[in-house]
Amino acid sequence: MSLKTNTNFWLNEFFHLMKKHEIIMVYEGEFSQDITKSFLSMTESTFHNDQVSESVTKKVYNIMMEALQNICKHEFKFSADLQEKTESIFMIAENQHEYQIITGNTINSNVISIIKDKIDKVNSLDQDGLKALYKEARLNTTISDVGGAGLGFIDIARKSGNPISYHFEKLTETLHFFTQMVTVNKQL
Amino acid sequence: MEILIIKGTEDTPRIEFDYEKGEFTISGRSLPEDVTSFYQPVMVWLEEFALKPKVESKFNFKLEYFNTASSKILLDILLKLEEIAEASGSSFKVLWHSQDSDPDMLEAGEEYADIVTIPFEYVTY
Repeated sequence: MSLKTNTNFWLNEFFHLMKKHEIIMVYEGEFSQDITKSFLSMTESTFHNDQVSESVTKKVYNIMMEALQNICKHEFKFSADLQEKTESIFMIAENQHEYQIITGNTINSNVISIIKDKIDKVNSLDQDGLKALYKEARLNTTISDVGGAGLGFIDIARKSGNPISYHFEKLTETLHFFTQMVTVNKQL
Repeated sequence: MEILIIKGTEDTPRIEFDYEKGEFTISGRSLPEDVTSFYQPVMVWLEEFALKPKVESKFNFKLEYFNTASSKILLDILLKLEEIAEASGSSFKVLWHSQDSDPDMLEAGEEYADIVTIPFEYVTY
C-alpha cells in the first residue's frame, strides 16, 4: 500500500479516532530521561487553560512526570534477538470534566500480580488512608537498582483523587502489555 | 567549610549550601534519573557538616516539583539534619516554600514537619 496515495485516508481516520477518545496528546516510541525532559517544557504551556485552576494543571503535570519516569524504569527491555518490539505509549485525554493520563508498556508476565496488588491496594484507600500509606512506605523504603522508591502508585493515586484503571493484554507466553489510566477532575 | 553550589538544570535542583552564612537552599525541580548519585555530594557535605554544625542554620526548600524518589532522599536529608541538631544541640529551622497555586507542595512540607523534630516555617509565593 503506497503511503503517498493513502495518507489522507488513514490520517482522517486516525484523527477521528483520537477525537472520539478525546486524546489531545500522544507519544509512542523510546522512553528515556531526555524524552521526559522534553515533556517538561511542553506541559507547562500546553495545559494553561483559563477554565482550569493552576492546582489542577499542576496535578496533571506531576502525574505525567511520575508516569513517564515509571515507564523508563519499568518497561520491558527487549533483547536484540527478539523479533518483535513493542514500544511504550503515553497519552493525554481531555474532556469537559477531566483529564486522563494514559500509559502503556510491555512487562514481564510474572510481575502482573505485583502491579495488580499495588493498584488494588491504593484504589481501596481514601485520601487519609493513602496519606498514611505513603508516610509509612516512604519511611521504610530504599532506592532500588533502577532508582525508584516504590511510591509511584501511591503518589499517583493521591494526586489524582480517583481510582486508577488498568488492563493487562497478553502478548506472548512471557509478556503482557500493561495499560494504566489516571483521571484528574477539572473541578476539585 | 567550603560552599557547596550545584547549578540547577531542567530535571535537577539547585543546591546552595553556604556554611558561613548558615543558609542552605535546595530549589527548582528534582527528578533526576539517578537520585542517589545526584544527591551524593549533598550527603557527603552533610556528614562533614555534622562534625561542626553551624548552630543557627536555616534550610530552605523551594521546589517546584520533586518525584517520589526525590521525596525519599529529601526525607533522608531532613532526618540527617534532625540527627545533627539533636546531637549538637543546634537550633535549626526549615523554611518550606510553595506556590499559592500548589497546595500539594504545602501539604508535602506539612507531612515532613510531622515526622521531623526541626521546626518548620511555611513561605508561600
